[in-house]
This record gives sequence, structure tokens and C-alpha cells, in this order.
Amino acid sequence: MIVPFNFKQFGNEILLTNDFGRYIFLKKHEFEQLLNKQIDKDSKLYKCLEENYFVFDTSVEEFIYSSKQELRSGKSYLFAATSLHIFVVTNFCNAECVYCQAQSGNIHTCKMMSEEIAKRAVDIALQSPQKELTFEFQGGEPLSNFEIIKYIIDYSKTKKANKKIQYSIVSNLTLLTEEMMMFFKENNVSVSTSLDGNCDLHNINRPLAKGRTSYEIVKEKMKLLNDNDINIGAIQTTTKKSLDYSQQIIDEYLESGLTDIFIRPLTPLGHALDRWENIGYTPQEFLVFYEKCLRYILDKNKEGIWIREGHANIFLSKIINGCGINYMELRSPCGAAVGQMAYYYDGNIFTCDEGRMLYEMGDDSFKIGDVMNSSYDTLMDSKLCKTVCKYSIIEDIPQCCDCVYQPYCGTCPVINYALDNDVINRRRRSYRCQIYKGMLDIIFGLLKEEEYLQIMRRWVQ
Amino acid sequence: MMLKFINYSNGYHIASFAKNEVIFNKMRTDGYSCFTVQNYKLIFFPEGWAVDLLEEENQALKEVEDYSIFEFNNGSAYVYYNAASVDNALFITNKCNSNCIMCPTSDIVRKNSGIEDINNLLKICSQMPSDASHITITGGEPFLIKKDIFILFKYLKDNLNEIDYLLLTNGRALSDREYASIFKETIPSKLIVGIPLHGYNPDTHDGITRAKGSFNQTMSGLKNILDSGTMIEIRIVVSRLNIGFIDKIADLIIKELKGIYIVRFIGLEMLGNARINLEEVWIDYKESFELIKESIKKLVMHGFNVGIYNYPLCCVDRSYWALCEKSITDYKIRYLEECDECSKKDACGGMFSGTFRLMKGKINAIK
Ligand code: SF4
Ligand code: SF4
Repeated sequence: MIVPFNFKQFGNEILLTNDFGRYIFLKKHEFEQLLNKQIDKDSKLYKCLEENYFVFDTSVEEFIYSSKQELRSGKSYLFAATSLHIFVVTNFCNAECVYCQAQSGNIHTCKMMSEEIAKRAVDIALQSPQKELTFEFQGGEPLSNFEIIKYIIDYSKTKKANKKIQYSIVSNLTLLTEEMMMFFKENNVSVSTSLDGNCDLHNINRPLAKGRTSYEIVKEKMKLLNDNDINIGAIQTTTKKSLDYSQQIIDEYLESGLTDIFIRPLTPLGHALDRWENIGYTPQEFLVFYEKCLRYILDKNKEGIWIREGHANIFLSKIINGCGINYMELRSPCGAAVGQMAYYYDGNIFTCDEGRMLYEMGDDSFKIGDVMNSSYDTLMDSKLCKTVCKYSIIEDIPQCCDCVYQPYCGTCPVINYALDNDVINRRRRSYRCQIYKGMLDIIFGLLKEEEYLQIMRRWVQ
Repeated sequence: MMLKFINYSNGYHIASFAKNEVIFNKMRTDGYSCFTVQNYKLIFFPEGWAVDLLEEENQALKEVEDYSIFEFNNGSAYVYYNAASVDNALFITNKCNSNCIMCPTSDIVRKNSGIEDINNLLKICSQMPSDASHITITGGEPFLIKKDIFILFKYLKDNLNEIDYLLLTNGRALSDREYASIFKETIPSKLIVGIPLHGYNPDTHDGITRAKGSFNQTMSGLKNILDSGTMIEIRIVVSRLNIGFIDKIADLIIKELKGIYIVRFIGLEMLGNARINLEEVWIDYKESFELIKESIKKLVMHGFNVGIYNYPLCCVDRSYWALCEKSITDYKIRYLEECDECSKKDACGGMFSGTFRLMKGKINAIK
């Protein structure tokens, strides 16, 4: 029997994928043989199809029985309750990044999360039945409200009982002091910052208020954190300017001692959309850049230098290991509410980080509750939670349901809504879809090259 | 699995088996009590004993995997831990403080059984590979080893915490608050406690366990551990004795045991006491399924996880097949002649070797 699969022409071969996240490339005549059930059962090809759950000879029931573990591990995030809790401790920021979504809103005065709101937010987060939680601090620039970060960490430690909490902070580091560093070290707080590339590029993308530059400060603080053994990571955002700097960006990461880089496209929303002319690009332009980056990274690995790319890593975990990762935008259903929750400084709770960004732009559609009146149960039980969940199951969404990349992809109802006023994307080839499809085209292309395949295997082992 | 070693006469001894020199040396450096075969002799470390082997004894050992743990007694050895199997047991005792009418162990065996010494258990655990896939901790009633059981749990938690465990107990000991609280603290993280419920009140339950007060003890034991996040499996052994009130048991679970991990309906294995009381106990799987299916549905509708054990597929409605599990240990599985015609044989868990003949004439192969 043949198991349902999706497929598409890939060069002169045909790429097939199935619900287990397994893939295979077939020649045209092999594909026809498969459909006509003419493949010799003793052949290597048949064994390979069988091992990858494309065909089976047992009863349907036995097939389900023996494959269900595989399906489970691909969707392992569904067996967990909300694990990522984002505390937006302030909306104040001392930087003026060219692509920031928040700035275009009209809430421009500086507001800080209060102790009472923080306490209630923590109480709700701890109601999640999940044992391992991540508390992430964001802003604005969260270090401008360090007191509350300290309060949240101290308070949650006294209340967490048998839960394990990992703390992390997303910061531009400019406000980092010795005292903060010692506190992070003591409490095992990991730090994630933005590093967009070399000096020129970084300073163009991420100027500070009043025209000061941020590159030197970030580099210096990263070194300090490193010297103090604090776990530090960085993310990159691609602007029009970045497109010419693929190698320099990666070299910059390597020089900074970073072994992971996350190449991220811009989201055409808010402030970024207003300036799209100056900073934006077409999906094709981004994809050319992404491929250059990925090849350069893989070639570095060939030379024996260990560095991984974040998007590729998430996709590969599913493609190679069949193991689904709880990355909110690349899971189905998406992680809104059931995987993450964002607590805004004013006490409003949002389905996710994107939901609160939309709020900063003046639309509270993804507000799921508030810390004064909600509990974890009421949040989970809300219509909004069910809506985002239901409409982000891409197995069900037109276009996606029969797309060959469906097992690895995901959709974001918040961005769909922000762009088109509809939680489901109904446009044939949306910006986001073109980007993900293109990335996966690139990755599958590289998987066909034995040397690259070996490197990518090592990434996800 | 029992193996004969006619010439072995060094008394009770626990040792791990190594097929070849390389593994044997590794075990020695890791400080295991171990043995291997050299020139038709069993060689023991660190004792240095050499025991002559017969040809057939040597052959039998060829089937055994590295790291299997043997319990030697004069003349023979019991393979306590079989490295080739996905399910091994830590067996505590055959004794029990209940006396169920359908117990698959007979009265005599239960009465005459001793209780395993905790030091032997710890010795065995110390040689168990940490990647063993599943271990059932069972009896009789394991809690009859008293507080020593917590020494065992603690050892497993500290040293073999990654393994999936199933603890089979009647749960009566856990009605003691002190026991319950030490229990919660010491068990390894992936342990499921399997506790049978035979009735829905003292009369119906105690009538089957033939132990007065057992219902109340089991229920308060359950409640004592329910709040701690321990994974609990309620086991309902379906027989002629309780078929009339399965639905009331389901109601009790829905009302009072919210938060348990799974309810398992278990088809009969007709051995020991069950065999002796055949008339009273036996109900065939088909009739039995018909009478429990509404209760299963009710539990599922209330959000409970349900599993169906030991029922051949042809006795279960197709829409319930997803709940059926292949639950019978491989060496006990039997099929009837009709089964050869069945298109679902590969998905069916079959029947118990001691029971399948009772299903003669009642099985219809699925076309
Ligand atoms: S978003 Fe695009 S690439 Fe992703 S599954 Fe849907 S159609 Fe495929
Ligand atoms: S006929 Fe035999 S193999 Fe088929 S379902 Fe029944 S018991 Fe199982």
C-alpha cells in the first residue's frame, strides 16, 4: 500500500515527503512505477521507500501501530503545555533600529512593568502544567527595567516548587552594568543580543538614539559576558544593506566566538513596512543572500570550523531526525498561546510576541486576557486560543495542505491578519511562503550533495 | 528463562554475561560481577571460578545477549535480566496481602513464596544497563518488602532514572500517609503505578480481592498520590465477577479520580486461581467487550486516556482498535487455526498460551 505523500518536481527528479517528515528523491520512471505499484519488492528502492514510510505490506492497523511513535515525535510539542513565557518589562528603548516594528505605533511614552503586574504574570505562568519553563525578558530594552527582572527571577524562584525555569534576556546590551552581569551569572540567565554584521552594517541598521553608534558597545559587552562565562547568543536581521555582506556577517560572528547564527528576513510590518523602499527587498533577493550565507557557512564547516545556521537547523531537525522543534512559527499548529504567551508591561496578555507587537502598532486583536482577571485555564479556554490554534494547522490550509514542504513549515495567523486582515493566508504566494519555500528549496538542494549532507547531519545529532 | 548448568555448585550468585573477551574485559574494568565462556568453561570474575560446560549448555548460551544478568543456583541459572528483551521485571515476591478470585498465581505459590532480599535487588540493579527500555516492578505485592522498597526506588532514581518503569501494586500500602509521602519523594521520574480497581464500593471490590477493607485502602492510597503528578494507571481486570458493574467503576473514576494517566481494561489470563475458579471467573473476550464498550466510550468522552489489553482484534469493534495494544509477552502469544485466514493477524496481539483454547469456536477471522 502507498502512504499519502506530497510531491513536486525538483530539478530533473521528483521530491516526495510524507506526514512523518521523511523525504525521498525519485527519478520520473521510478515515480511512475511507485504509482502503478510496479516496484520490485526485493529491490533497494522498495526497501528505502518502506523504511521511510512511503509504502507498507502489513495491514493498515499494523502500519499505524508501528509508525505511531514516529508521528508522535514529529509533533512532540503537542504533548507539552505553554513553556515559553515572555515578559515585556518595558516599552522604553534607547535605540532606533531601522526595522523596529514597535516604533510606528503611537504608544511612545516610556512605561515600565510594575511589581504587582509582574507578580501576577509569574503566578499565571507558573500555572502552566509544563515542568520545564523558559522565562524570556523583552522590551523595548529590558535592561532599562532591571529591577523588575530581578524581582521576577527572585519571586519565581520562591514559587516554582518542582518546576525548572530557564531565564533569558533579549537585549541590545548598551545598558549592561557590572551588577547586572553578576546577577545574570548567579542566576544562570542567558543573554541574546542582536548582531547584524560588521561595524558599518550594524551601525546603519541599529543606531542608538541621538545618532550615537552601537557596534563598539555591543562587541565590548559581548566580550565581557563571554569572559564571565555567561551564555550569550546573537540573532541577525537582514536589511537591503545586508544583502551585499553575506561573508562579512558570518566572519563577524566567527570572530565574536559565536557558533550559531540565525539569518532572519524582515517582516513587512509597522515601521519596517513604512520604510520598505529603503530597507526591504523581494523574496528572491533575500533567497540569493540566504543561499550565499548557507553555502559559506557549510564551507567553513568543511574547513573544520563549527558554525550552524538557525533556520536550517530547525528544518533539518525534522527532515533528518523526524523530530519537531518548538519554534513557534515553524510548527503546526503554531505556538501562539499553547506554546508561548507574552505578558505586556501594562498587564495585558497576548497569544505571542507577534500579538503584542501588533498591539504596539495599535491593534489589540490578539489580546487573550490580562493579569488581573485571567488564569492559565481561562486563557487556554478562550476563543482566541482556539482560533489561532485551529487556523494555523497547515495540514488543513489550502495551498499548504498539498505542498511538499508542509511537514516542515508553519504559518503565523498574527502576521497573516496584520497583512491581509485574515488569520488564514489566502494569497497564492505570500511573502512568507515564498521565503520558506525558497529556503527549503535551497536546503533540499544542498542535501543532495553528499559532503553537505554529512555536515548537516552533524548539526542535528 | 531458566538454563541448566549441571556442574555449577558455588551456591547463590549474581553475575552479568559477556559473550566475548572484549566485553568481558570492559565489564571487569567497570567493576561488574561477570562471567564468560572460554574453552567449554564458565569463567567467573572476580571469583576466578571455572565451571565445566556441557555441549548443550554451551549452545544455549549462544542465544543470550551481552549484559544479561544471571541468578545462579547450584545446577542452574535464571536469566533475571534479559538484554535482548524490551521488557524486564524486578520481581519482589509472590506473596500478596489480597487473595483475588481471578489471580493468575495460585494460592500455594503465593503462600510458599519468600521475599527477595533488598541487597540482591540492589546488586542486580547495579549491573543493569542504564538504557534498558522498560522494567516492570512486580509481585505478588511488591510493598510486602516494606520500607526496603524505598531503598530500591531511591537507587533507581539516582542511578537509572531514564528507564520507563511500571510498578504493579494493589496500592493498599499507600493509604499510609507516611508511605505515600516517602513514595512520592523516592520514585524515579518515569515510573507509572498500575493499581487495579475491581469494584466501585467496598462490597463489590472486597468481594473479589477477598480482603476486607481493601477497597477503602486502595482508594485512599490513590488519593494520597493523585495530587503529586505521579502517573497512575487504573487497571480493570474484566471478568464474570465484575462485568455487571463496570459502568459504575467508570463513574467512580470520572467522579473521584480525575488526573490519572490512563485507564486500562485488561482481558483475563486463565492461570492459577482464575483457572481453579473458571466457572465463576471466565467470560470470553467478545462478550466481555460488548458489555464494556459503553463504559470505555464514556471515559474517553470525559477526556480519559483508555487502553484495551489482551483482547484479540476480532472481539473488538473496529472503531475501538486504536485503543488496543499488543500486550501479551511474545513467548506467551498463541493464535488459533482460524487466525491463519485473518487479514489483521499482524496487528492483533493474539491470545495467552494458557487461555486461547477457551476461545475455540468464538473467533472469526477478519477478511
Ligand atoms: S507556507 Fe508555503 S512553503 Fe510553507 S507549507 Fe504553506 S505553501 Fe508550503
Ligand atoms: S482471528 Fe485471530 S488473529 Fe485475527 S483478530 Fe481474531 S484472534 Fe486476532
